[in-house]
Amino acid sequence: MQWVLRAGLAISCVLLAVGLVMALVSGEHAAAAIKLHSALSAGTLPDRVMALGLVLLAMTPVVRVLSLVVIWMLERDRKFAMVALVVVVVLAAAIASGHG
Amino acid sequence: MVPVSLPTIAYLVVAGLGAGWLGAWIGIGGGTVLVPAFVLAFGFDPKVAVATSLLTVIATSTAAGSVYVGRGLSNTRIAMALEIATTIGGMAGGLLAIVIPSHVLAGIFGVVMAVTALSMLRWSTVKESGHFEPSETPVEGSEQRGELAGTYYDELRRGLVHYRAVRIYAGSAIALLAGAVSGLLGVGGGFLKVPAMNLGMNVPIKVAVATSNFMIGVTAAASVFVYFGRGYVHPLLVAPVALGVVGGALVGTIHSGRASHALLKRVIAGVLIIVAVQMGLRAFGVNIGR
Repeated sequence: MQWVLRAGLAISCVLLAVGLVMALVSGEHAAAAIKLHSALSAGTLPDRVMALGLVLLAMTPVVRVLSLVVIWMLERDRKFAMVALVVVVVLAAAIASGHG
Repeated sequence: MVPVSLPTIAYLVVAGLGAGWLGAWIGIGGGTVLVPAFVLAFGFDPKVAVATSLLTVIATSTAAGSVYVGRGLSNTRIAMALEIATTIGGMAGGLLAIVIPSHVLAGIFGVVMAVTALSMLRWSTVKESGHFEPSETPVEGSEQRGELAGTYYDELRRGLVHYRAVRIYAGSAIALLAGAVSGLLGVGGGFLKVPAMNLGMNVPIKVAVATSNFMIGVTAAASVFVYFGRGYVHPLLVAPVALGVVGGALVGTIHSGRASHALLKRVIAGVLIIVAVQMGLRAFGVNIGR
């Protein structure tokens, strides 16, 4: 699991760095806000690259919890697989509320 | 649209480096330092500050987590059990923050900061828990299946510590509050979670800190999507800080271990109180210092 996390973080950082450099090179003078549902489709290219990095970053904890559901089911720990599943449901609700 | 200049970007990176380093070094940093910096020094809207900070909290949690979980210190079962409450709180906090006026948010932040500062100064009690079993050879920590219990290897005392968490419902109540505070103010919430686990639930301090580190990322994720949906995330602002925080945390982790924390904590607490007052005054529309 650790290397997955590190890889995810590294990719996010690369995207953020590349996007930031692109934004500076293209002379962006203002920071635009992004919305979740249009993060990857609207806005300048540098913003979209950075947005991808941020979405990836925000999803990392979600992936961690999902992996625990799988790991615990494989370990036959039904109780905690259910616990983790409840957390996933709450996170899904949070993501859904962000699409509003 | 927030106007941004090249110096601002550079300052944001520096702010991130400082916060990441501080957080990795003494465990207080991240949101507690960044949100006031964003509001008071950079002039961000408090909600933008919170959204930006939450993303850096996720970055720190992920970066630290890969270290802690590997050492068998973080108890993922306790984390998930408490996260049911924390994520609900986080989501609620985020939704609440959207409707609360920004200056009131700043005021609330001031109050919470003052409490954090006072707790740093006066109360660093740590409870030792668990059953100690001497063992010369280091063993990897583990969790008990189906239980809120586990084992970790204490390198200092050279032995295994077997622990069991209790009072999960009381712990969850505090976790709910910690989640709400996190979603509302953009902080990690560790200053509530660690005492809740260590003092309230009989979790050894090292496990409590490691587990909290894992938890704050999940909690921040629950609330950050709420902000994402309402246009408070600005990539051009977040990117430099996030990169700074990751860099600072890496440096801070190499650095940590030997430093004397007591004096540093007093200095930090002092700064926090000054900043808390400034944030508090914002609630009444008073702007000092910028």
